[in-house]
Amino acid sequence: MTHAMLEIKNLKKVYDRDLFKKKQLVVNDLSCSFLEGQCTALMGHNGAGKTTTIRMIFGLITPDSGEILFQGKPLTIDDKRCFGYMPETNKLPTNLTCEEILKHHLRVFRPKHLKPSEYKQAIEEKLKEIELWEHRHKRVGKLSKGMGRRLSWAQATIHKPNLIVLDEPMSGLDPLGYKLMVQLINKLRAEKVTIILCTHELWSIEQLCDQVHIMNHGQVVYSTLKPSASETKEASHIMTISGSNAESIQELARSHSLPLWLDMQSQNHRVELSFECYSDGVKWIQACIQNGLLIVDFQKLSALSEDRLIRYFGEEKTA
Amino acid sequence: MSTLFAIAFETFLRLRRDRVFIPALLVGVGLLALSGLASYWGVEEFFKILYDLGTMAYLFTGSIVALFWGNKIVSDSKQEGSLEVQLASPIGRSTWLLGKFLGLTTVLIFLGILFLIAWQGIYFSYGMGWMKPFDLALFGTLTLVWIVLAALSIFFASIATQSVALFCSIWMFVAGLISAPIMQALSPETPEETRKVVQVIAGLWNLHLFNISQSVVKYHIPVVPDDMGYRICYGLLLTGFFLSCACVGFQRKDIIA
Repeated sequence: MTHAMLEIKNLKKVYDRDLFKKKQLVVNDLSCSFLEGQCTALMGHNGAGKTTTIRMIFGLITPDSGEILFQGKPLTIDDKRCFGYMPETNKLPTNLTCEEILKHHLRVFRPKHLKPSEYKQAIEEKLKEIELWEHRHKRVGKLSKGMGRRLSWAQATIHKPNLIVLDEPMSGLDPLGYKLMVQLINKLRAEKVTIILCTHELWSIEQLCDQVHIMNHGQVVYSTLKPSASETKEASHIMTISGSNAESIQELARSHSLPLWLDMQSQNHRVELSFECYSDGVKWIQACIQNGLLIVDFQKLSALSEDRLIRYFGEEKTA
Repeated sequence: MSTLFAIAFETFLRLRRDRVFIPALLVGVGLLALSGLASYWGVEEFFKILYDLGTMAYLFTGSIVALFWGNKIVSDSKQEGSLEVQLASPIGRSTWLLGKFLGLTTVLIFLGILFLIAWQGIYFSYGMGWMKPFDLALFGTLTLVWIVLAALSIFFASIATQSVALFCSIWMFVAGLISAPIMQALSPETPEETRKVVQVIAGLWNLHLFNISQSVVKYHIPVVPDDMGYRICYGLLLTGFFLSCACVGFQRKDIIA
């Protein structure tokens, strides 16, 4: 059974910094957990409270109420030795070299699996892994954005954390960099490192994540263990039929006793039907072929399609 | 402790590479050399001019650099975001601030040593041989002003934005320089209450206390160990006070980049 590596209970934060501005409720009674060895996506529109939540996990912001438990116990400064953090933008000292940054990081973390005499070797291995070994003496200010992202990755992982927070790790990467980053994240997943992935990219969530939390207005509004279409009660497949209308489709369903659709939209002799499961769609394909109807499209819907996300992001806003 | 030294070392490295370092060194050395020249061509007593101008060059160059760097090391970390990453690691906020201060102090002492080498150069150029222990005491106490001001600017930078912090630090530096002259300039008609207030302020925040050149060069009063001890304690107390305030203020602050 998988245990929660990190648990957030009733976390609340109100920004009250400016005397002349209204108080702003950023995180509102947030409760969620991040399972050990799993990759969890934390999603939400801008201002949903993701970054504030992450900053509270790292102790950068003090919560007004609630608690954060690490392996069942209240989080302490020393627990942060087991954490890794890759922020959204490259937040690195500009006038230090790649090698110096990693050396400083190791001196601060003092990982148990490494003796100080082994730091040099660990830095070499890490810089070779992210293809920055040739640039080890280059100052951060001289690195490209992609190189900076990779160095941020190295900084977040060199001490072998048990839990790592990746805030938009793919942002600003070219296709090669993107591919490398996916490989690196998959490597961490294989090592059973708990990952919290903040991203808006649906593709990376579906490929990399085992669990998804969607936040809105400082709360988790949707949570799922596996973001696959089959586990949801929502439409999983969509079919587009050409040369027909709503009446003839209803007639076809009656005459062939076909399973009912979840949603139907008809326009200009094109009908779009959505089904709960794949087998319903297959029965409709057979019936359409028998009746000479032209199927122009039949596709699987993602559990986290853009439409759905917009709905999750928007639901609470209008509430 | 090792974390503290790691941060101090990182700060030292960054400041040593800072673009201000070489200009500050050149300006300081240049002003010291000018004070040497001015004393040679001056109409007044050679030593008085040399020490007046020399200490002023040393005090002002170092103080401005200390104020600027104290502000910069905290503000830059906030701006580039490295503060967020560093505090996300197992570093206490007070440890981070103290490490920064320690690193800054080390660079200031390094800069002070380079200035002293320039001062020794002036001594040699006038055929006066090696500088006296008095010079070391004089520049040592002046370096203490730099360290106090470094702590002061770190305090302001930790609780305020860059521009506000810089303004407050400079204002406090000026206040420290003028408090004692204002007290001395009070007329006999000044009400006793006002006099007491000014006395308290000048007693608490008086940067002239660190300049012993006047008493030695002008009044020929020898440096007494007790007197030096008092000045050093005063400097350390001020430094400790500002750093404590910085730690308390920074502890409560939300880090929002």
